[in-house]
Amino acid sequence: MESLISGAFAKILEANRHSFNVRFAETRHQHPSVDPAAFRELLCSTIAPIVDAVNSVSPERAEEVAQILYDMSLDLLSRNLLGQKSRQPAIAEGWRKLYPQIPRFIAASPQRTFTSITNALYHLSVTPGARPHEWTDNMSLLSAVCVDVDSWLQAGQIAAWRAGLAHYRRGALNLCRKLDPPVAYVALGIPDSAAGSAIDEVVTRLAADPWLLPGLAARKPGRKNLTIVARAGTFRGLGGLFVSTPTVTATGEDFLIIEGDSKWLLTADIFGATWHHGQGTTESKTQSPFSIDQTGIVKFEKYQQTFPELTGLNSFATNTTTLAVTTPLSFSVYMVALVEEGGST
Amino acid sequence: MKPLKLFQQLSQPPTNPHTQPAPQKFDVADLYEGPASERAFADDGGLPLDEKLRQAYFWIVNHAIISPHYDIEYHDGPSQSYTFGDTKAKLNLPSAQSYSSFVLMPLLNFAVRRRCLLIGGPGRGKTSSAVLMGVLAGYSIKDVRRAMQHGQPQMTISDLLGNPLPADLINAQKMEDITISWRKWLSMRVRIIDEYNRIPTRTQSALLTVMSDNYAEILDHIYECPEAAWYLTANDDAGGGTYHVIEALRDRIDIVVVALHFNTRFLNNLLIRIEEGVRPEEVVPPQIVFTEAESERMYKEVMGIEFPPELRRRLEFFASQFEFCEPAADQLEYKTKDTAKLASIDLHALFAQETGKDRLKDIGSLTRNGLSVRSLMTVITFAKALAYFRGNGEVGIEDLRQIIPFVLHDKLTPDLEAPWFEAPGNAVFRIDRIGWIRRLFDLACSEYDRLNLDKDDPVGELDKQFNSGLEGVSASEVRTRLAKIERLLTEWSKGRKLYGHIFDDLLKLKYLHQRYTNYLMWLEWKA
Repeated sequence: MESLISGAFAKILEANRHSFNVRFAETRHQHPSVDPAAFRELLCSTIAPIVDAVNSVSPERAEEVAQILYDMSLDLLSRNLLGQKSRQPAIAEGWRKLYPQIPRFIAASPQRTFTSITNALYHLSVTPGARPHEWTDNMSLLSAVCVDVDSWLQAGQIAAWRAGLAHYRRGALNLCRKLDPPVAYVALGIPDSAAGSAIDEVVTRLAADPWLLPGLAARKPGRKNLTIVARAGTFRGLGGLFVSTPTVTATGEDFLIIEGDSKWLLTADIFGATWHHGQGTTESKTQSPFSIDQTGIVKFEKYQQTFPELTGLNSFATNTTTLAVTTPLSFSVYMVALVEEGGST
Repeated sequence: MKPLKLFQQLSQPPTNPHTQPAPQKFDVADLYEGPASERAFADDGGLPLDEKLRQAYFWIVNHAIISPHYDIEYHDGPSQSYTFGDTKAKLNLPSAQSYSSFVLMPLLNFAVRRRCLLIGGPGRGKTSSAVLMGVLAGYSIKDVRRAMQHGQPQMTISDLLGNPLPADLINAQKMEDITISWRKWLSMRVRIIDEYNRIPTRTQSALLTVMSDNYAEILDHIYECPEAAWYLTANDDAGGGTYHVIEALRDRIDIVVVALHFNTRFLNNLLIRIEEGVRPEEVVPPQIVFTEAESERMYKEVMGIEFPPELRRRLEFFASQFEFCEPAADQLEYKTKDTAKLASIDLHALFAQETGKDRLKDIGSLTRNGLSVRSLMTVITFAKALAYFRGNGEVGIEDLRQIIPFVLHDKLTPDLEAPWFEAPGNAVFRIDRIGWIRRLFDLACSEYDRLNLDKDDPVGELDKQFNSGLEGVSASEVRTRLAKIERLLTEWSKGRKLYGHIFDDLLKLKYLHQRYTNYLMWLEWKA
């Protein structure tokens, strides 16, 4: 049985019936594939709870919120970014889970909140390996400690880095210094009990070591081991980028991966690895404490470890914190680093 | 109620993305940019003005004027071409973003505030296009329609410009006491004259003053008009109007745009308009409306587009082809079509006296006139506007090639009896003025390349040397330069036929020689 829309949203729909109907008809003219049933379902299951939640804290903003959500959801539905046929279901899930929990932020700045959150969910959805659900959960937690939309969205940028968008690492760490420390600790996922160090100290340690977990950065340094911290990339037939085994070269803090005529920029840290078109990026080597031989023995200052999977490597590149290796038997780029025990995700 | 969205959809920027590989830069603020755009809901997107202009273009072609033509073709790498029918009609599939001249040219005219003539049969969208430009300038549709001047055989100067107040006419003791009620359209930034070739000749003269000098005059009272983009329309510009258009007025028109036909495959778009009861000009999205300050800034930005020297040389070479007429005078300076025209003799018979030149290759022999300074300035202005519209910082050769036919449409008069038009495949250019002028430019460029003028241009070198200044140049150096000029002239006098570009080069060499001679005389006097 079809669910019915009730409450504040139902009243707004009724009061603006003609306008809403015209807008739906216009969208269907442009996008005949827009399904009325799917839109109705979206209104019932997703939009109505959000409007009702806003109505409960700020009734005077409910209609504006309904108007914005109506247009935005219609637009996203027509582009298959919302609804049952959505290419990115995490967007709708994020809407359903997050928006009813943040009515005060929505009431304060509805357009900005909806746009920012939707775009963030989109980026997290389309980035392989990123974790939009984790980000949504963290945004829920952050909504309890942030006093306004600005600080909440800034904290969201840090949370997005932690949810797998490794290329935002530097910007996110800079934001940590700007936010109130309690918010920054929550954004970094550092529990109250571990939040002993000053935030500047934590951020400095995190900036120096991309493979250090924020929780460990707030404690005294522990024992370290050479470890394969990440395996990034795979065969195109399995959803990856490569049809042949790539080679790697260094470009500052990141790595340039070359496969035939294609170049990819790989940014990686403890939270994930992201790939970007590397055209225009040039090789730039830095002094590095790493070394590796053909038998897979990796040395870093006094540390040494053998990695059988790196035997017979066909290329490697290093920077101050990471050794990246490719082998003839794998489409992946192996990343080796010196990490604290208990420091892997 | 929010405005209808069906006709309000704007193209997402960037509308003409440039693929320039650059190192990746990551900004965490990008997290909140994406498909859900605040811009779609905001009044001011804060876009660069060239992007806004492109958005306006795409909105017009997608929603307002159904002109699915891409006659301004750009290519980026190889493109496909097909031929059809007995005449081998060619269809090109452009490999880069291409445009419809009927929409683009009026829009460029809006950006550079010049005078645009829209010609074509009734119902082709000429007036609608002009009205849209008024709405883009921020005027309400009512104001634009009311301000539009409709040419008609009874139109007086007062109808066009304004009236003296009747009470003042009776009571005034002197002219200054008369107050003039000026017509509102004179103060607008977009001025539209519908069917201008139906305006009586005397009123055309008053219009000429406003168009050329930007002021109106009645009873010794002057009204200074602001800078504006002009749009004139005519169903038939080749004498089909009620009155013959005076030549000076015709000469003031900077660019001519021919309305293209309606493609019946797009009838469905009309059906939607009828069913929805929507008139596109009434629902122009506010994001593409230009404020007065934005129009001013856009004009300055267009003028800031670079016109590279090597392109300027090509334009010089092309323009130099047309004025020269060897049999028109005895003295070199007067060997021009203008001299012949002033003598009111049969130009074609005069051209036939030119012997020894290949009249199939000499493009100068294809026109009955040369190019005015105003035409050349207009070419440069619109070429800059086109480059700006495409998001480029400098004019490219293709920009020039595409703009020249529209600017010179009414400026270059073909000699339709010239043998060139009899050559296979050229007969069509007697009718197709746009194609003819574009072909002239292509032929001029081929000749320019054949002569290797990009690399071997002795006059250009001498000019460059002269432009570096005379201060501190010694008498012996001046003598060396004079000898160089004389040597060049001696060399050229041996058997070279005279063509338009050589004519201009010779006069330039004479100019340089004279300047050096005067300078040498001064140096010797000083010594």
